[in-house]
Amino acid sequence: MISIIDHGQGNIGSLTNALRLLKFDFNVVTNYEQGRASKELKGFILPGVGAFNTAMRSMRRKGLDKLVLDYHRKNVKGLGICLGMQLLFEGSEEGGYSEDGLKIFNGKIKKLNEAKDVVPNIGWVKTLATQSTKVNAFSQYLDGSFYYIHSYGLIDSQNKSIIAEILHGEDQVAAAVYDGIVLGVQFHPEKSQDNGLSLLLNYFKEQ
Amino acid sequence: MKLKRVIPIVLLKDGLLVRSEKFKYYQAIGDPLPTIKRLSDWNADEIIILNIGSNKTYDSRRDDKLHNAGTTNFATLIKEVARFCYCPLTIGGGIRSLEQMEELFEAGADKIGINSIIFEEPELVKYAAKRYGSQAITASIDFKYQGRILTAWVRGGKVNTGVEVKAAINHAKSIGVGEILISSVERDGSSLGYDQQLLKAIQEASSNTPIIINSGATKVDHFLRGLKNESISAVAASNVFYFTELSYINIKNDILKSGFENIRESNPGSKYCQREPVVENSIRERLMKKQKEGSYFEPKKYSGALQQKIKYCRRCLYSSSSATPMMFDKTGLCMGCRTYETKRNYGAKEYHSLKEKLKKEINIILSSGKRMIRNYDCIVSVSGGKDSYYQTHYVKNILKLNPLLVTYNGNNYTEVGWRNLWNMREAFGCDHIVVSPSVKTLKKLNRLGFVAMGDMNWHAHVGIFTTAPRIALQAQIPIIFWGEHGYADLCGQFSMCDFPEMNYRERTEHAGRGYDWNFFVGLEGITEKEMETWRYPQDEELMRLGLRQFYLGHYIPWESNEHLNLMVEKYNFLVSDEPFERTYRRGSNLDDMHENGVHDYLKYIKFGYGRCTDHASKDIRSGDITRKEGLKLAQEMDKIKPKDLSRWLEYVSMSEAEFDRIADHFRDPRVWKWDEKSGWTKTNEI
Repeated sequence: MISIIDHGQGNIGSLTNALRLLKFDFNVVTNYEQGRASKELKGFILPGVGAFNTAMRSMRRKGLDKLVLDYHRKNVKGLGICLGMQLLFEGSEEGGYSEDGLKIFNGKIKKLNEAKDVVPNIGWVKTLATQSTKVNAFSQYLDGSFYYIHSYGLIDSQNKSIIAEILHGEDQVAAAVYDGIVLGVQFHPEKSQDNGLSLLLNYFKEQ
Repeated sequence: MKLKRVIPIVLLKDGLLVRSEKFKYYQAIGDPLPTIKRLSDWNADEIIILNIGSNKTYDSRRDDKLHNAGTTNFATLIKEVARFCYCPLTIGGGIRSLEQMEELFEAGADKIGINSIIFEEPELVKYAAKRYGSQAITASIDFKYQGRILTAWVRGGKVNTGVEVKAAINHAKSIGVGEILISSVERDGSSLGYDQQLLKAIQEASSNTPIIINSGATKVDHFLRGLKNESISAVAASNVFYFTELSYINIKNDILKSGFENIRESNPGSKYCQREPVVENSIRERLMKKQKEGSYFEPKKYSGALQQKIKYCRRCLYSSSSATPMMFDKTGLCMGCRTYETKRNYGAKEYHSLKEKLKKEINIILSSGKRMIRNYDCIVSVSGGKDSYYQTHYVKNILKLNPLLVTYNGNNYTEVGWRNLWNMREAFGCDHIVVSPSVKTLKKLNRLGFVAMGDMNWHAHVGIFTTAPRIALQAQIPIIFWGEHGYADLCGQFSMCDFPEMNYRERTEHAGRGYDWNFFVGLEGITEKEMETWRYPQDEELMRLGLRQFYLGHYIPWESNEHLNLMVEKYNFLVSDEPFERTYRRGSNLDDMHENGVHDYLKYIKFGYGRCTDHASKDIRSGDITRKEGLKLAQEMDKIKPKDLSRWLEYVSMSEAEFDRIADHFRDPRVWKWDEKSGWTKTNEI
C-alpha cells in the first residue's frame, strides 16, 4: 500500500491515475488518524502544486506534518513531488520564510533566477543523475528528460542530499534529493511519460 | 538544458474535434478522444485542449462508437483524457470563473488556459494565479491585424481590446500568469507559417515569461522559425497533427534532422500504455448483453424527450444528425458541400501542381537510399470496384508505377463484384494478393460486430484498412494508394492544404467505430491468433518503413460517375444487372452484398437515413440530380428492409426476430420515438 498525503493543494488525479496504471495499491490520506491506520504500508507520496505556505498550514491543520515525520522516523519509503519535495526542506522564499518546512532535509528553497532564464521553469529538462547507480539502483531512472513546472527550487550545489540536477540559466538546481528514506523530485514523474512512470515503478518496487 | 516544446493544440467544438480556419470556419474531424490518444501515443511534450464551442453539453451523436460516452461535458471528457495521458495537459476555452477552473483542475488539468478574462477581469486572474500558482495559469491571447497594427482580440477573436503585443504580454505578466500562448486569427488554419511580425514583436517584448507561438505552422521551416526565436519557449499547431500517421513524430524528427537539437527526441509508444483501446470487462459485458434473449430496448429512452431538432444542409440531403460528424457554415451550407465546391473550383492548373507534388513525393520515397531492392513500387488497395479500377488505371498507366494489388475478401462478394475483382490481374497486368480470412472467424465477427456496435461489417471496414498496411510491412513496400477519402469527402473534413493520409486513428475511430481487434478476443471463443488479420502494424514498424498512405482523390479530380463509364469502356468493368434495393446507383459496393443492404439498413435504424441519402447528396453536389429528385429517392429507399437480410441471417444462424430485437437497441433517441400505438416514428423528415 502506498499512501498519498493529500493536503488539499492541487489535484492528485494524475498521480492516482499513474499508480493505478502501474498496478500499485494506494490510498489517499487526508488526516493524521487515517494515516496512522494505513496497513501494510510500502511507502508514501507527498505531492503538491500551489503555494508553500498554504500547503504547510494545511498540513499542520490536519496533522499531516506529524504523519510524514512519523513515517520518516519509521523508515517508510517516501517520495516528495514538486512542491511536495520543497516542503521537505527548512523553508521557502515563496512565503518569505515565514512558515517552517518539514525540515527533513537541510537547506532553503529559493526563487529561480529570472535574469538569465525564463521563470516559471516550464517544460522538459534534461536531468543528470549525479550519484552512481552503485549507491542507488533507481539513480539510473533519474537520467533523462522530465517535465518541470516551478518557480522555486533548491539552488545550492553544495547540498549533500542532491542526487540529480538540472541547469536553469547559470544555476545548478536540484532535480532530486535523497536521504536514504525519502526521495524528493522537483519534476513531475506522473507527467513525464515513460521516464517518470519507470522511476515511480522502480523506486517503489525496490526493497 | 531546457528543451523547447512542440505542442499540439486540440480544438473542440460542441463535443467534436474541429479543424479551424481564421476563427470562422470549422470542420468536424471526429471525436476528440481517439486523436488525443494518438498524440499521447506519440509522446507529445504537452497537449493543449481548447473548448471553442458555446454549447455546455457535449454530444458526440454516435452512441455506437466505443469511445463515446454519448452526451457529456467538457470536464468529464478531460477526466477521460487524464486517464491515458501521462504528459502535461493545458485546458482552456470559455473560462470565466474560479468554479470552472476548479472543475478542470479536478478533472486533470495541469494548467488552465484563460482568454477574455485577461482583459475583462484581471482581478479574477490575479486571484487565480495566487490560488493555484502562476505556473498553473496560461494566458491565451489572440492577435489580429487592424490595418498594419496587431492587437489582442477577445471573445473568440470578435472584440478588439486595442492592446498591442508588447503591452498585452506585459499586462498578462503583471496579473500573474506564468505562460502565454499567442495565436494569430489571420494565420489560423492557413498553412502559411507563424506570423513574422508577431514573432518580431514577441522578441522585442523579451519578457522572460515562457511564450508559446501558435497558428499557421505545417512545415518544418515554419516550426524552425518559431524555435529559433530566443523569446519562444514552445511552438504549437493544430491541424497539421490531425491528418497523417505519426505526424507529430515526423515533424519532430525533421526538426532534429535540420540540425536544431534543442527539442526532446521523439519515439512512439509506451511500455505502460498500449495503443489499442483497453476495454474493461464491465463495459464489454454491457455491450454484449443485447445478445441475451429477453433484452429489449428501453421504451423510456424513446418517449420523444431526447429527440432533437434537426438541421438540414440547404443544398444536399445531409443533416445535423448524420453518422459522419458534420458542421455547417453561417449560410446553412454543410462542410461537405463547401469542400466539394472548393475542390470543383480547382482548375487544371491547380490539379497539375497537385499531381506534380504527388509525383515529387513518390520520387523522394522511392529513391530514398535505405530502401531494399523490391519488386513493387507501391500497393493499391483494391476491392474490385469502379474506384479500384480507376486507382489502378491511374497508378499503373498514368503514374507509370508498378503496383501490387491487395484485397481483403470478407466473403460477401456479389457475383459481379467477384468477377470484376479477378479481372483486374488481366485488365491491368498486375500481381494481386487476396487475403481471405477463415469463414468460421468471419461468421463470429459478423455476429459480434452486430451485437456490440450494430455493424456486422466491422470485419470488412477494419479488414480493408489493415490488410494493405500489413502486406506493405511484410513486403517492405513504402507506399499505399487509396482512392477517395470517402468519409471525409462526404462531410468535408479537411481543406486542400491538409493532404490527409490513411492512418491508425482514422481506421480505428471511423472504420472501426473505436473498436480494435483486441475487443473480440475471448468472445465466442475468439483467440488472439484468429484476430491476426485485423491487427494493425505497430507504430515503430510503420516508422521504420516510413509507410505513406496517399488518397489519390486528394490529388486528382474525382468524379465517380465519370470513372465508371471510363472503366466499363476501357477495362471491361461489369455493372450489376440487378439494381440494389436501397440505392439507385448500380456501380457501387459490389464487393459486399450487405454493404448496400443490411449493413446500410442498420444505419437507417440508427440514424434514420441510409446510403441513398449519401449517394443522392453526392449526385446533387455534382449536379447529376436535383435536390427534389434526390429527396424523393431517399424517402423511398432509405427505409427499405433489404432481401439480403435472409442470407445474412442464415450465414450467422440468427432469426429475424432476434435481429430486430437487437437492432432496436441501436436506435438513436435523438431521431426516433416509440409508442405502443404508432410504433417507431422519426423526426428527421425534411
